[in-house]
Amino acid sequence: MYSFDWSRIFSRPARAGDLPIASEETQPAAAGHWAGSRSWLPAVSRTVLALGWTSLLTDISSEMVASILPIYLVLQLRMGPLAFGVVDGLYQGAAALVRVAGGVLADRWRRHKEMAAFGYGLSAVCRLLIPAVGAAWGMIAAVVTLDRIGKGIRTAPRDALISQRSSEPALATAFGVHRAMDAVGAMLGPVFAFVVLTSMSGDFNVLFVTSFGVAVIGLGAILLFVPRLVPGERRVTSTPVSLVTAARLLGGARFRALVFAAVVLGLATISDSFVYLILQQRFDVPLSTFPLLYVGTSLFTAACAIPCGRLADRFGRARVLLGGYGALVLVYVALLLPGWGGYLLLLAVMVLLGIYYAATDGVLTAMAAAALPVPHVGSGLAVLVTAANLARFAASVVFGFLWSRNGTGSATVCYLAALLVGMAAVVPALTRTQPRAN
Amino acid sequence: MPTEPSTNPSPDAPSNRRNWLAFVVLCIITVAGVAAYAFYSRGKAREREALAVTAAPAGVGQFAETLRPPCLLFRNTALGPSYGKLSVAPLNTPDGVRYPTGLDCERVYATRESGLCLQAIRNAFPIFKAVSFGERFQVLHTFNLKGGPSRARVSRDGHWGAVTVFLAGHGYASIGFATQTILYDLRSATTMGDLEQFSVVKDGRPFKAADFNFWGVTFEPEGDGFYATLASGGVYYLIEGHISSRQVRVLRQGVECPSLSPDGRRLVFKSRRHDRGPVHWELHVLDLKTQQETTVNEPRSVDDQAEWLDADHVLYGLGRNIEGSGTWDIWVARSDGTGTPAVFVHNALSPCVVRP
Repeated sequence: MYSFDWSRIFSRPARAGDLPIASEETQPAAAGHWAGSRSWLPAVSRTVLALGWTSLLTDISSEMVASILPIYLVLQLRMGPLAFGVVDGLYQGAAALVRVAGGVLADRWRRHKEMAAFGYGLSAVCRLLIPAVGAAWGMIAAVVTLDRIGKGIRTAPRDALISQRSSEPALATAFGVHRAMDAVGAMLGPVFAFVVLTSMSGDFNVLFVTSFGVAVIGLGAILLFVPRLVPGERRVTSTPVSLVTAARLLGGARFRALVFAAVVLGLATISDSFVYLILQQRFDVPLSTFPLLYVGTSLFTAACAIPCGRLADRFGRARVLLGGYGALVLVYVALLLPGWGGYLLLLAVMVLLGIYYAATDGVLTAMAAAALPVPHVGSGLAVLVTAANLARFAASVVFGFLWSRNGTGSATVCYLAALLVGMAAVVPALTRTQPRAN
Repeated sequence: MPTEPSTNPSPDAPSNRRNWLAFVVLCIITVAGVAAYAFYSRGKAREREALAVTAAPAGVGQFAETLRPPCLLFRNTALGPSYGKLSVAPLNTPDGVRYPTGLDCERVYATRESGLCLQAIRNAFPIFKAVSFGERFQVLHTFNLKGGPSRARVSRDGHWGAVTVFLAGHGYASIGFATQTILYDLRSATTMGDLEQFSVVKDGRPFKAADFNFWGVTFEPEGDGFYATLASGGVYYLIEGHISSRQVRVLRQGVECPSLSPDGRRLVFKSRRHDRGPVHWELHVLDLKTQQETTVNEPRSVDDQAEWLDADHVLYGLGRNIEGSGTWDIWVARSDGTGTPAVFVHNALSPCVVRP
């Protein structure tokens, strides 16, 4: 079905991939530079694969800790969900600020790899800091914030690298491969945590050290297997990149339309935590199975991300993106169905949420990367992700408020209506940004 | 945009073999390091266990057969075959010989006729249960719980039971974690529902929020009245309610894990102090009539639902300073703020005084 079109890569002037020129092309040993050239596997550059492995390992590492931290915190500190929500909002804010800074600086210095590796390294160090600071609440909050800052720093430069080292027509596929590996990591993390804790009879320190080890290997993958510069990659000699140029990117019609779409759709998004809480309330699912819901969603995201990326490259990214939000519409409808399905409904929601993530996250990033001028991809992606996250955060706050005032039913109806209106509103903008309709 | 294609492969373009070698070396070092640490931790854990064993002074007697008040019930944490068992000690020599029962309990509470024992089977898919037992420690009924045991109480007449468990969530950003408090009718072995289903009244008006958490029920000496803690929006309220009316009323703030004195006039509870760094709880005693509050002279942070030994003394569990050894002692302190705390029972947790 999918085959790699070499001629299209070479003929594309603005965005060179990991071009297997001269020396590499003549050496059969270097054929691994392009993984999976067989037709049933998507062909992505070695950079994308290496970044995929880094993300996979880093996600195992962070989810290992994330899946046990609330137990640790609740038992020690008795924190209420509201306090937790507010604190989480502050962390998100901190991450948003450094995300833009990370994107802009990576573009300015043209050091995307180093910037991403720095972010991964910072988060790796945090794994060791958690047991080091002991049970002091303020210090744990600081470490968690530092971890979020690491995540904020690395996201945009990493996605810029993926876009720089992939061919434009296969961008969504490249992001699909990366996001699939990322989701596999998110799925394995809680499993790793469980195995370590049971085999070490509940020694949390060993868990943190193991998590650090996994993160170090992930850091090794980006440092050793992502070339800093790729032969044939276009070097931009003068790229004045700053916060001002990042803001000015919104002047571009295609990029502005994508940011608009991300914000409008983000404002109508119910976060998955709320979705699962609603299901828990309705079906009286034991809350101890909560991690399983996330594992299940990650499983379906991992399974669908690559097909969604390939569909997007083939039949139009805007269509797949809207299809993903269509899956989210079905999730809302499932939440409103009166007394139907039980565990079957739970499974359906996991599948739909998996499709939603698979069809939106990587695809939107690919669309933005294609719409941005090459020297500004990092800062542009940072602006997009920050705007989308702010919209989603606002949506969560409002949803929590509506829930506590009027219950889940009417809140869900409001969001369903908002999402349908939002989808209708972004269709013209999205189709305009898709001049390419092969 | 002025661009200049780099025609030569960059000098730092990675050479495959060297990088693979470096990666393999990195993996070996990391795995070896983690394994070494895990091995070292296991050794340390064994050392701590040995230390805990030598620190255990109490003798273990033959099995307790019947509940003979007055006596003290607790979870035995002295290492040995009776570790984790519900154990009994006479009130006049509490730290002398202890008599284990066949029940494994993480928390326990009982009165003359019946009791509640919270059990946890912590394996791959943990199972949590509340078991009601009779005066010969025989299991009467089993209720399934949804999370790890935290608090248990039984009313004086043995009619009502209350259990608080921790429900875990996912991710430090997730909102899905909470406590759950369930009330039981122990006579008919039925569940009276979750406290979250009760209507709450605050300042004469209905009070409802999505972030409600209830814990730490204590029953009034007679009838179906109780006190408990309700947390919402970072505030910890003392509530009072009745099972039959399914209604609770907010009384005041800053009260966690209340415990009513035998005469029903005073509450001992955990009071949060924020000026002492990480969360620190003091034990306070509140006179319900005069609203006068006394601080128990216990400088360490107490995270337990205290139990009244008699009109003047309270009992509570405190972890010993051998980190991670799971070793606790039951301490006794005066409720009027004078005196100094002393160990009441070594290697024990979850004190419950059974009165005649």
